Amino acid sequence: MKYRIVYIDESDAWLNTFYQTFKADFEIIRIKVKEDSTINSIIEEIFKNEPDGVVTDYLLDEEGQVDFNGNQIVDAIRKVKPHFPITMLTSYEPQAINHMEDVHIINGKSDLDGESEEALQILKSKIQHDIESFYRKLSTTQSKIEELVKKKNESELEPQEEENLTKLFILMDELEPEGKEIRANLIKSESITKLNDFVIETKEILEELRKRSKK
Amino acid sequence: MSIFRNHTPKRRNINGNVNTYGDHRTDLKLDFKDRCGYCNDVDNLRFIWFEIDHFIPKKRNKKQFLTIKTETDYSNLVYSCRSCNNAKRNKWPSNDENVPNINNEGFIDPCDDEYNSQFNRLNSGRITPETDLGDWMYNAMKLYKPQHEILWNIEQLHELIKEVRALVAKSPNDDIDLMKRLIKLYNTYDDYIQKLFKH
Repeated sequence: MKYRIVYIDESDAWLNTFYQTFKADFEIIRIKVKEDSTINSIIEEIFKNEPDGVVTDYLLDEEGQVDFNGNQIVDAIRKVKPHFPITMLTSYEPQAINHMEDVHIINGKSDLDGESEEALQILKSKIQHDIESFYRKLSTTQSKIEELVKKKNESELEPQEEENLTKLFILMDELEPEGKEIRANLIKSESITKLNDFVIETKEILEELRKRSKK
Repeated sequence: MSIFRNHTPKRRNINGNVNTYGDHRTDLKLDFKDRCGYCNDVDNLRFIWFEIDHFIPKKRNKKQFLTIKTETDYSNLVYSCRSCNNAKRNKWPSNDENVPNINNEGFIDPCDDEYNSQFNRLNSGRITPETDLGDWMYNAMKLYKPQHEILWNIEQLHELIKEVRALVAKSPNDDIDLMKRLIKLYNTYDDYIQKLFKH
């Protein structure tokens, strides 16, 4: 099954070039940045399509239609899904580098001109590798959790393992924020023990009260 | 040991036409007694809305999967917390929409009494798997997540506090020490809850 990627650009020509270049390798959803696009509307459209990864152009304000660039799209995605696979294409690498925390996702757009088959292959495998490594991280995290939980349910965990499990829970929430419902600092096992202690003590007080009410 | 849950939710026979499956939310909330069908968490102790899961997934591998029922068919809907709904997603190991589980992999409809015997609960509130199929579901729906323990304990406390209040009201107590202990406990607990649900 081909991975589904979203490609974001303000130029029809580039949207088309990207699509033609990679349509055999990926299922491509094109998002055109228009005058009325906002960072939020783009983010919403990205995730509505349930993609495996995102590729965005860096310079989106070139036409003067919007006042944000690809780096802000990246930040907004990372805010929701810190580990999500993103690749950035730009004809202005130095400028993009100055505006990016994570410079490793930047790629030259000139790779798409088809002059160098090798450059195209490298870009393609970068995008694929990124997606694969995200899924791998997800499944490794889950297996590690399952293993520790199994041990915890059957016997008990060493303090070090307990700490690892908490870290893995936090990582899982970062990898799959859709399932996150509780603040990270409260999933530590001592927080849960504390809550369980409340229950135990309340039961004791209740017992005491019952005794007294019978007197 | 505690019990995994005291009650099996039962869907009424609801056949009326609706525009979208979301229109069934109120009915589901009622039939599932405000609880997630999968983990039994109650829906009022969180800041994220409950969702509606399609027991047989609508889509798999980005293609339509559900054909034997409509998307709005009430008998295929499960009132579900966000965590379970997201974890279950489009998992369906048999690849046949008529076969919910095969070789101890897959799901049991939470409205089936069989569902209860797949799991147990420790006194700490943690859910544990009881069977091989339960073990598969446990991992597939991440029923090991700490939030289920947390919410179970909060719910226990909620019930206990009700009893304490009733007793205190019934027999005004002059035991200052016990009252002090109660207030201290209540304050610590209140701080904890504030932290838990702070955005």
